[in-house]
Amino acid sequence: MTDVSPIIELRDIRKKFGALTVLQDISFDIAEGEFFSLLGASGCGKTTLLRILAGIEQPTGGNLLIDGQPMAGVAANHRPTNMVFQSYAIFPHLNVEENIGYGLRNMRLTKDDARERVAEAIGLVKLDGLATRNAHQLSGGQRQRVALARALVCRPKVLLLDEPLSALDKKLREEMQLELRALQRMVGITFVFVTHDQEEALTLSDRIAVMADGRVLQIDSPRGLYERPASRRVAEFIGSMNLIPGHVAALTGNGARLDAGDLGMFGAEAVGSLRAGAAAYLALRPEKLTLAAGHAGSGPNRLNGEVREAAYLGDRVHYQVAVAGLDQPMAVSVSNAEGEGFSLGAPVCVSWPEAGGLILAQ
Amino acid sequence: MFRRPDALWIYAIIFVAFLYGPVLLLPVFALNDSNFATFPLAGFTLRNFQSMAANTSMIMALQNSLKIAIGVALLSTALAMPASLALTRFRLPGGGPIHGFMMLPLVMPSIVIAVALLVIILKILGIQLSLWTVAAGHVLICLPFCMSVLMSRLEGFDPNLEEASRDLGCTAWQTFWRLTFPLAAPGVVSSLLMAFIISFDEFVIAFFLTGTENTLPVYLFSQLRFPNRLPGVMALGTLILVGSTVLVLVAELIRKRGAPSANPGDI
Repeated sequence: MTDVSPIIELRDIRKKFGALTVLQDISFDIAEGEFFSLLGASGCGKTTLLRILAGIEQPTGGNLLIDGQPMAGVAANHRPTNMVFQSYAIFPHLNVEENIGYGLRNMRLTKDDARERVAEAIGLVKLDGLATRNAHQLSGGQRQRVALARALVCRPKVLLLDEPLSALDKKLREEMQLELRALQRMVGITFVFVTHDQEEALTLSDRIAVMADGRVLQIDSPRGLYERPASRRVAEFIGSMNLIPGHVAALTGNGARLDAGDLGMFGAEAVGSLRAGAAAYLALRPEKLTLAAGHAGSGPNRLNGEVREAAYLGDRVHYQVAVAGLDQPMAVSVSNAEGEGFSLGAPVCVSWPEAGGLILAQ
Repeated sequence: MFRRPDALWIYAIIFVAFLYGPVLLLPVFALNDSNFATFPLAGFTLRNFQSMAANTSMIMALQNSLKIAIGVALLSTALAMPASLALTRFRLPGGGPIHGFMMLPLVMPSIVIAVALLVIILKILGIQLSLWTVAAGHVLICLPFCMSVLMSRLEGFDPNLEEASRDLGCTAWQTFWRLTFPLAAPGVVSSLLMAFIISFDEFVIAFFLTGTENTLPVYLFSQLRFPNRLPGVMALGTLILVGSTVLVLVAELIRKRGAPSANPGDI
């Protein structure tokens, strides 16, 4: 995606509400046709950033370019963006058709053209037959579709979506995720999607910006974020991660050796800027670990412990393994295809291939 | 639920009778064939309504009152709308004090307002007293009522609605007419009616600020010295009673209709 020209360019965007800084040092590009997610916990500034893109909020500083045009002083109604609000903001005094056609009134289309585009949008979001339904007669899912159609009918260069699925129940949400992805491929418009749900972001996005405290922590593809998180915070936010604390004993090429005290020395690939002697973590994904019955002698890339909890999920079993010297039990996710499983209290050996771990900075 | 006539129930009946009993005497005496508003009733007549229609100065006063009330209703609602929008939509510096200041006429005795306005109009501005000065005084006392009604309506909005309208290409002006005004319409109707009724029966300010022409309340007060005019006054009072009942019913009906959209953001 990076070889495509950027549709959105953010340069050192800052935003303050009074004395409170909600965004700082925001600089990145979003490529044309990309499904880009802003992921973070509530209060991290992701919605504010989206509202700055829409022109509803003005940044305190920095430059924003959309399609090569500087957006300073350009009001929301003159921007090539449209937004799907978290509350959907369906106009309650208008029916489905009138809601969807709302944005076309200022486009100087002929009546027939406008009607055709509304009908097309209704088909696109599968609301056929509901054109004259009143806003208050719609279900949550239908409202969401109206909001989507109302924004898409204006044919924006960028569609902004503010947690559009958060108000839907789980089943409908998963259905809409697939539909949204298919819709984005079909219309080819750049989507900027705000969510606090990491699973949703991983499922939908081409790239994800992980945000915390008004800053972007890391931007990467879903796979890149999951496999090579750049920091402990990202690692903990995306999926679950076992962290073994220690300090850097030595740097070796693109790897490092971590001295974890009584637990031993561990080698793994290093990410981020590490200095010898600095506090760091060995990060291990639960599914990269394997369990073997009984304690093994000391060796590289393994730890002895005992099973504390076992959660049977059908296709997988999640174990919590208590390891002497670690505050948190280690989470181990084992495929159900192999073996009989381990009973509570059983002594086990947790091991991993060296390529399965990462050494992260504090 | 309140089948048993307990003390509270009796209290409620007395309360309502006390409130509305005197008002209901008005049509009774208006239709009574006697110059004196006393029991026993003498007989049925429509003569009082005929004499009312023939009383040109009373009809003039009624026309004056209607003109002022309609003008005041429109003007005070038109003034209250932008003020309410500003106070509900933006965090204005000094918004709280401004709001309090605009609500002040609500708690100020109208005699104080009337005297103050009289001094300002005559001594400072040097304007002749007329129906215009009455209307100006009425706008002042109606504004807080209009603002309360409009602000409570505007505060119920999902703020995202107006943002969505801007996002969909509308200017602020278009957003107001295509979105805000239709959604606030029940509040606008209430505001118009409230201002109309307040202006229509206001006495003190009208009494102080009017010139040679009378509004209806001022005229009626002047007629109380002539007992033989009383039945005609009662006939007019009856018509106004019927008129305002219809008006309130219509307003209530519109308000109920508007109720489903009172919570535009709910899912």
